[in-house]
Amino acid sequence: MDTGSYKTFLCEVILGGKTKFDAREEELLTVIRKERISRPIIFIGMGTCGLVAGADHTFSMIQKYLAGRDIDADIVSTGCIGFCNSEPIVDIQLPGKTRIAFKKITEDKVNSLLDDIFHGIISEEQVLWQFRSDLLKPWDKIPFSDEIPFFRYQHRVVLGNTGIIDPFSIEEYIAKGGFRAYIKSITSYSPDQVCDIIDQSGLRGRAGGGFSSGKKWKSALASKEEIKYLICNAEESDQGAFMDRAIIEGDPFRIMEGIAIASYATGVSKAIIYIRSEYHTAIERLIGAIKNMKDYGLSGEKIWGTNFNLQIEIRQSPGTFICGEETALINTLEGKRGMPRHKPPYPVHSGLFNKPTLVNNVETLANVASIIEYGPKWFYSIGTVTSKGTKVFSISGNVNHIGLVEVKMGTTLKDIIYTIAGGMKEDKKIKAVHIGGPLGSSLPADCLDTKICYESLKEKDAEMGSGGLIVLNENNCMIDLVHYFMNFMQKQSCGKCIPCREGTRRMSEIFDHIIHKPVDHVNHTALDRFRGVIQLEALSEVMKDTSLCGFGVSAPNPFLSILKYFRKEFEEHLFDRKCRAGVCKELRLFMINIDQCTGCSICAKKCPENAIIGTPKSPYFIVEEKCTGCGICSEVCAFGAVYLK
Amino acid sequence: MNNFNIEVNHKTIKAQLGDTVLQTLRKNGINVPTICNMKDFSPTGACRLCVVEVEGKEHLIPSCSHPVEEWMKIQTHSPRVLKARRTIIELLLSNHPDDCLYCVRNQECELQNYAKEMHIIERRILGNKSKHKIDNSSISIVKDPAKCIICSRCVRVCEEVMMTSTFDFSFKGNKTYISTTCDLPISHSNCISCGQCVMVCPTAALQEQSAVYEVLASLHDKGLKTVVQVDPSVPLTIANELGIKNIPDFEKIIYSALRKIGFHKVYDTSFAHDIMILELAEELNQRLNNKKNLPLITNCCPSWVRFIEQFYPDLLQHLSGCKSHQQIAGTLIKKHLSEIEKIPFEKIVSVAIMPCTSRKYESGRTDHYSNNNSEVNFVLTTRELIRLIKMNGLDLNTIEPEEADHPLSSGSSLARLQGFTGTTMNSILQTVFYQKSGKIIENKSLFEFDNFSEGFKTGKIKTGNTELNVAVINGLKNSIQILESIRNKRSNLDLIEVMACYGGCICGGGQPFSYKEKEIRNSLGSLPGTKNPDSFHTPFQNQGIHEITDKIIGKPMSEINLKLFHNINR
Repeated sequence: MDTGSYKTFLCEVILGGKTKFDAREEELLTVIRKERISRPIIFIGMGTCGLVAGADHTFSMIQKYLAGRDIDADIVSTGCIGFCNSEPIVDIQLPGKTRIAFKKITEDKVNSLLDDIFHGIISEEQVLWQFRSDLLKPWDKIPFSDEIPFFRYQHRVVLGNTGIIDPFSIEEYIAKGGFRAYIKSITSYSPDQVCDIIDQSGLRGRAGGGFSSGKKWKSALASKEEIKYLICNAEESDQGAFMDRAIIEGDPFRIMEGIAIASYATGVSKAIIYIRSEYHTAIERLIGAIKNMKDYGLSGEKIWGTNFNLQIEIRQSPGTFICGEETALINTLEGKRGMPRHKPPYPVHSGLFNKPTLVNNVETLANVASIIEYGPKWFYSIGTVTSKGTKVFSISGNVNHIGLVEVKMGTTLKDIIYTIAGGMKEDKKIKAVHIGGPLGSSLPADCLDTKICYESLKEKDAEMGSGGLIVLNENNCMIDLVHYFMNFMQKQSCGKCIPCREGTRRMSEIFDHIIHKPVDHVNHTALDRFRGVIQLEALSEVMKDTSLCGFGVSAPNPFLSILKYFRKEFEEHLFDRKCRAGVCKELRLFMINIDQCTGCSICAKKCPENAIIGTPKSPYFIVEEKCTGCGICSEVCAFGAVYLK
Repeated sequence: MNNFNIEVNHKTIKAQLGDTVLQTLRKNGINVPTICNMKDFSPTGACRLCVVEVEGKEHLIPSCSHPVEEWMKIQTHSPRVLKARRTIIELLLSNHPDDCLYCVRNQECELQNYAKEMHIIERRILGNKSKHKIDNSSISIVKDPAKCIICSRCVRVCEEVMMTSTFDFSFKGNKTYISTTCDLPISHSNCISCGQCVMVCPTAALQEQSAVYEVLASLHDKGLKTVVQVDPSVPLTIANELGIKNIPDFEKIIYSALRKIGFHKVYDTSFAHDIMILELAEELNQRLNNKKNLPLITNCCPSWVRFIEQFYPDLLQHLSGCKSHQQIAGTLIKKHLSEIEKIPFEKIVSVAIMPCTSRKYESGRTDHYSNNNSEVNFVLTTRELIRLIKMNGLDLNTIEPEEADHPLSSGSSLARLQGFTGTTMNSILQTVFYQKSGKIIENKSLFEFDNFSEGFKTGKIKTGNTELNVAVINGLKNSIQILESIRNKRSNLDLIEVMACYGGCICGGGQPFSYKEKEIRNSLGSLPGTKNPDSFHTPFQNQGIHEITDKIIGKPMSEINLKLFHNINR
């Protein structure tokens, strides 16, 4: 059976609303779902994380292997399943057997892996898990994916299909239940009803603000303008955040379905996906998804016999951090410089080309289909009192499993880090969790019991942000982290409003003074350092109070959080000029023990700053003002005479 | 429910739906500082100085862009607000050159004023300052990005009123600055030198290219004869600026002052304006007879000429071939002095005092040169003249009025008003009408503007058996529609007057920063002929022109005049 006849079958039977299937239909479904297969399938995780780890080489190697041995097998490239530090992950499914996942299959390991598996042997070192299936025979002694802690404590709604299905195959998505919610919405609900369902479900914007999506949709629907726009915001530029990318790469049709339902609910006929131009893989998959939807009559005019028209378009962002702000994003879509506009009027009243514009985050839209499918009560039952549903986090930093997780609202940070992410790397002590990217806050180790929820994070002066979690251990310096973010922000500010443009710059400079030694900078004496520092808090307060957009308002957050939770470390830097993590190199002060120094002069020769003086055969001396703390002298000294004060 | 009450500083005031908070506050006499806000422009909310505290809002809100709402309880000067405003000014100052004493805008600077108002007496916020190069390339406008506070006023004026878009933001973060397109020097950009950006700039980031020192040097040079022409808008503004009201012949005091400063001869540009009108009227007659290149478009505004050259080069033939009054006066002065008074041509330094920076650009146009020499050597703006007067310690209240020198001694009363939009049109129509019917149009307010920003007016006028369709435009924004209709051959107009700036030259880019259009308009009574019909006279009634005709110049559009007053290049 070819894809053409799949189409008729899927459109008529599955999307037609049939719930009971006869034996033939049931069989066809299992074939499309890749449960009943006649030849082996090899799945390769070809998300960006996989590609970085070398998945494309693995892919061609597997092709070569199959061609060389004349083996009849399919290769499917999938998205990222979220277990990023084990990429490239290769799943293999033999006819009649469950699908089994292997980690770190680089080019060189392909031959041995495939040799083994085709002979029924499994290398224990490389195996990760097998996927549970009622129809297929499991492998022995291999854990099921839902048994291992990484998956067991997750609650995958948005990430339900990522890394598992073929992102280029609309058939598989439909066979797994996709687009049913969409068809149900446009055929049996009015836009009002859809908005009501979303409102009742308690879904809140996942981009950080946490505004009720249902209310936003309702105000978009209430507008009487003929032309309205919907923008799916996939401009994700936070450091350490890659949720949107992974969702799009792994399951592009889920976003499409969300966009389509949202468009119907708000009376929009033109939807725009605004995506970072660096996300090549994601863009490629979105283009494929848009084409497939058109083929299946799921977009275009008079969809499914209704009066609903929808056109979906991809626009690539010019690529600055600020373009993720909704009004700046709209400005760039109009061909202007990416600078935020003042609110009110909000985009939902007057946005793109002064028309009502609904801007929603990728993750928010990815939730929509499931809410329609399973009903608002189901979604409402997940999570805490105020925050419903699940949240996707991208965990990076010093944990064992860097990757993508989706947890119920209300899960504690501790559970995420120690249970799901497998605890700290090398069992080091956790120092802090930085949540929410460059505009977020750092929470100390004793706040790990904080629940993931908009309100409880706010109590701790943190914000959910878009969902980047960076885990830091004792070897990370908090001041250095804030300095890094401040520097990032002073470069990324759009330059429109004064508090943000000048404020981030001054804050960044003050931090420069804290972590750098006064070498030959202008205005860089101890007095200036203190004069700067006493302004920091007042400056942050004014920036928070007066900035034009969320960028300026949140820019002081990293600083304020370390002032609250890591004040001691901050003061150490400031008064004692010491960095306990040893990250701020310029604060290190090396000295030469005159008893041990033989006057060999090797340190003076190697010193890049000419900071070591003396005469041969008598003890040398380090000039404190010139020393940059690079530590080369201590490395080259054969007598151990150089020590860190 | 269009009117409701709000509470401001614990007092109840009336507010109107649709107003912003700032508008409401201003209507009630409550002053809130702002830098980026401009009258008649949509708010950008960039400077954040106008923030106020509203009960129930987490952050301070910008009053310039926030619509007023019924429940609002506003504090305009609470400690929190004052602290925020002070910090913002301090942040600006931290990246601003500390050279107020060497600044052209010293004591006229909005940033300086706010710093004083907020009582900033200590450098609390320190840091590195951005390094920028001064753009000295243009003959009319200097850009000093180091002094720029990125309020974007120039960007908006250039884009929304002048339709030129020379300036825009470049780069981001701490490197943001206002640059020209592709970061070209202003001289190579599409700048039309109108100077409106200088007028709106709160600091000295944009200023005129000053020629004061050059003029002083030539005044001190014994071998040179430095002469000056004064545009009639200039004395008018200075009288207003110095608070002198209803002095009948204030321009004569200026003439006297200029002689005291050391100018050899002082001339009145309005005389040249009359010549220009006669030329234009004749040119219009010719074009009407030939039915060619209609409508005739005036070209007395150099910014306008540059604009049409850049953006509508296909319509250039519609422009009058005649020079502007400044250049006509320049030609005439040099010709008169060299031929009649026998001063060697190269020893004459001709200075013009104009309300506009664009005149500097015009004086430097090589297609206006004669004998490889500019007809007008230096142009001073009104602001520069005030500086020159102050520098020479002159008290204008005690100076005796003197007449301007022969032959450009005085113009018609209409030429006196040339700075106002519509006057040129009025003068041409008077002349054409008189030539056809021998009468003067009695309704002389035909093209007077009550509202400066009205911008655009069309009318019909019957002269003899022909009917003229005319249009008067001020503000380049308003010219686009008409230019497009000419381009598409859908226009039935015969004559168009365009001035680049709103209101005409009186609102030009060289005027004092603090002047107010309305007051000037009110003080118009001091000009001859505006109130008193007896002293009203038109260009063709200017006796001075008749005196020199056939001696120095010829009849309008005669061969000698074409050579003298018309641009050969066009």
